[in-house]
Amino acid sequence: MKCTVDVRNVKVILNGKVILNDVSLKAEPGEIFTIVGPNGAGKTTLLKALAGIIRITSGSIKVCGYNLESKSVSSLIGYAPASITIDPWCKVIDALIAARYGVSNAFLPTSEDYEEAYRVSELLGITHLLNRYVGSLSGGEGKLVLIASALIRKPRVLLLDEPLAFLDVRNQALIMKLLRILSREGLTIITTSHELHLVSMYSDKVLLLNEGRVVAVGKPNEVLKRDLLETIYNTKLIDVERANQRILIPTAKD
Amino acid sequence: MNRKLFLVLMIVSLPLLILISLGVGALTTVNINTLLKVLLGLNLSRSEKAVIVRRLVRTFAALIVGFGLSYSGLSLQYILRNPLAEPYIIGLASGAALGVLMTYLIGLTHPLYVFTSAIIGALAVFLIVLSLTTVLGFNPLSIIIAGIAVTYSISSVNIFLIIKLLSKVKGAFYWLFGSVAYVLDYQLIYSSIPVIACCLWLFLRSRELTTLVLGDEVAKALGVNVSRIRAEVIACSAISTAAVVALAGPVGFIGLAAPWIARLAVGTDFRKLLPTSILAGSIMCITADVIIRISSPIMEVPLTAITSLMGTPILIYLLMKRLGWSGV
Repeated sequence: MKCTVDVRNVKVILNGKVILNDVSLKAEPGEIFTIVGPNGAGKTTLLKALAGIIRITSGSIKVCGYNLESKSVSSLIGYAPASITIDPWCKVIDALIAARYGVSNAFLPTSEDYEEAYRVSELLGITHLLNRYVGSLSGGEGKLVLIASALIRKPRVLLLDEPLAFLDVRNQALIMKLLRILSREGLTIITTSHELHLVSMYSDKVLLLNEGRVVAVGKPNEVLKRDLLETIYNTKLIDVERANQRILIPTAKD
Repeated sequence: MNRKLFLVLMIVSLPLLILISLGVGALTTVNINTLLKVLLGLNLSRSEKAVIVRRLVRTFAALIVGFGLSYSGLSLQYILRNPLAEPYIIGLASGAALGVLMTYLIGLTHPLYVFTSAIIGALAVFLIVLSLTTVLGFNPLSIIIAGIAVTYSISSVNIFLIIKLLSKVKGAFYWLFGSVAYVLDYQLIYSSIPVIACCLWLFLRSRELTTLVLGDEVAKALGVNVSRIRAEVIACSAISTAAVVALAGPVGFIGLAAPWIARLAVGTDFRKLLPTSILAGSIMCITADVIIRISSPIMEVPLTAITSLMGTPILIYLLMKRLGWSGV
């Protein structure tokens, strides 16, 4: 099943504060859609709303044609938060098996659950961590476990909050390549990112969010423009050309 | 030790311990030989029968205490994401004890009143702990700090109440530190029903509970109603702890140690941990009761004295594990 994520005029108010206002986006199957914006722009809130973690105040979100309230939606989604939320006293293998909830109907873990755990661990190069306690992992290792726990559900829609954070360059490259492979298989992938210099390398579409509103949406080279980003982030950026890729990086100089 | 062997040893040792528990006590004339007579279908004297029935009640009371406290501890550790959480430390047990003592003080000694009052006491004290935790800032450590502070305060009140009751209620002092020596058969039945019923409820919720290791947000994204599961676990733990405390008083360390012994055997999946914790808790409690009867048959020591000794190595193990993580 190929899934479109259709967000229309979404508004989210939390504790009396408007976090998202009139946000619309459409992510198609086979597309990597990345949400960027300054800290506090509402990127994580938007992703949580898409995952059904936060209730939207108004507007609509449809995943594969279903409303988010529909019970069948959660089995289509794989979600990984930005920071490591897994119980530190839990073993990696048990965390991965726990993430099969809703896609595996057996009461006890099955051999298929374990096979899936090994499959995603191999994809992410973390098979050696399976019997470790999560509390003993480094930030980057924990991040890979989180992404594995989203992938083990064989989702149609993958929601990854800052998938490149905590990772070294080798693992950043691994995740970017993996996202490209998964998108070619027809997954709809929505991520958030602060790595503006990497976004254009793996994303098909970029949405720039500021103070809860959509500022721009389109192909990376249409959205990631220096003037626009300097205004939104209120900081000076340098335009660098490397291996036919134009990237924007912050500068330490005044 | 191999995990499977450890698990098999636990499974085999429970029925053996039950037999040993039936065969030891102050009255040494009723022993394993008497049990053999029962197994061979030979008639027992009235006094032998009475002793065996008494020990049967006591043994199953110990089993229910271990059963209830172990799964309550495990469930609380899961929902609070704190390896040190257990009914005793977070105030459920002392609150239930306060509830029980109040009924004895008023004179309402029917098991139904005692049990209801224990639940009210447990939940009331837990609400105080939660309120304090909110003030301190909700995190795994603040729950423990607030729980210990409230537990000590309530325990002080309980000691005053028990002194008032010493002359009125037989075995009151032993009850305060946990004892199955004075349990009566109808009390055992009254307490067993809620303990088993709550366990079955949590067993049916095992799959949802397992997802909580991923964190609340991820569990919600998986389609789990996290708030409802938390409320159910707290309610079940309070009811189960109240039933156990009404039966045998507040027994420490089983709720902490049994889930950790189970983790050594089956890992960290709740679905496997629940039955294994119950097994470990029952073994711990019956073993402690047998040790008490063998070591001091005339002047018995309370259960908590032995279970605390058993629990200490578990605490040290946890501490070593934690230090290992931080690279110290």
